Amino acid sequence: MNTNRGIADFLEQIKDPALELVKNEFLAFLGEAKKDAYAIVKENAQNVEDWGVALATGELTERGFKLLVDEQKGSLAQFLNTVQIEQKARLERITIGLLNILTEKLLGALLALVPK
Amino acid sequence: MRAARVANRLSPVLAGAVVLLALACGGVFVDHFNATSYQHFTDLKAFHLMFIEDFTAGQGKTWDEAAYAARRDEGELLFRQAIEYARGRGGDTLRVHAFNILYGRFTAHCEYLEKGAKQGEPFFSEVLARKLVPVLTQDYDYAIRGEFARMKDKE
Repeated sequence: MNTNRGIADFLEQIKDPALELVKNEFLAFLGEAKKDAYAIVKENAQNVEDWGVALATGELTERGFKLLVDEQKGSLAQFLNTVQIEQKARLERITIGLLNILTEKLLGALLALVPK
Repeated sequence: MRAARVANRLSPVLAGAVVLLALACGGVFVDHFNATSYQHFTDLKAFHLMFIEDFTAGQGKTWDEAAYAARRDEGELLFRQAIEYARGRGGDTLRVHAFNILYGRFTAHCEYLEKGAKQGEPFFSEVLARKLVPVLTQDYDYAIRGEFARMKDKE
């Protein structure tokens, strides 16, 4: 059922002039997201497009569509939370690594440099 | 003089220790990897995905309110155990937040099913479930990746 049509084709069918700006803004965001380096941003854009089409063709109900959008928001929140954990753990590894090298491997050599 | 030399020798180490202490106290670091929390994430993932599968429309499926309520209670208990355990680990807010995000999704799924059942349309449709599962799986995978990213105690 209309599987080859993209979201732009369906937006084209909306003739309400009041929504013209919104449509353009949506497509601009979508285009930008598809070009983004982060896989998650691209996936998000693909999902938005896929779900929008499924809504327009009646494959998805409004309730189902909203649930999916919230699902995606949850996944993005989880991604950002994980990135924070990774950054903090990395910072800890670096600082502890530095201190361990200093105290376990370099301290003796540094002390040997001290003029007697 | 000797005391001053010793102090000079120790100062890089002490400075490093002070910086480390300040970072740790300032909440810059996160709690280390915890095998129990990892287990909670994977158990919840398996439970939640099975929950979606069990309550997706299919041939011959009929809505059983009591069976649904029992599964919801089971899920509630699993989430509460995981969240309380994470809180009890000293309040690493990022780990607690990871569980809360997943719990929020479970609650939303239950509300979706309950509202649908009241309107005479119980179950997730097959199309909805097909689109929902990959996103939910990714949500859990991010959470599990976060647990793995934490430092191991032996590091």
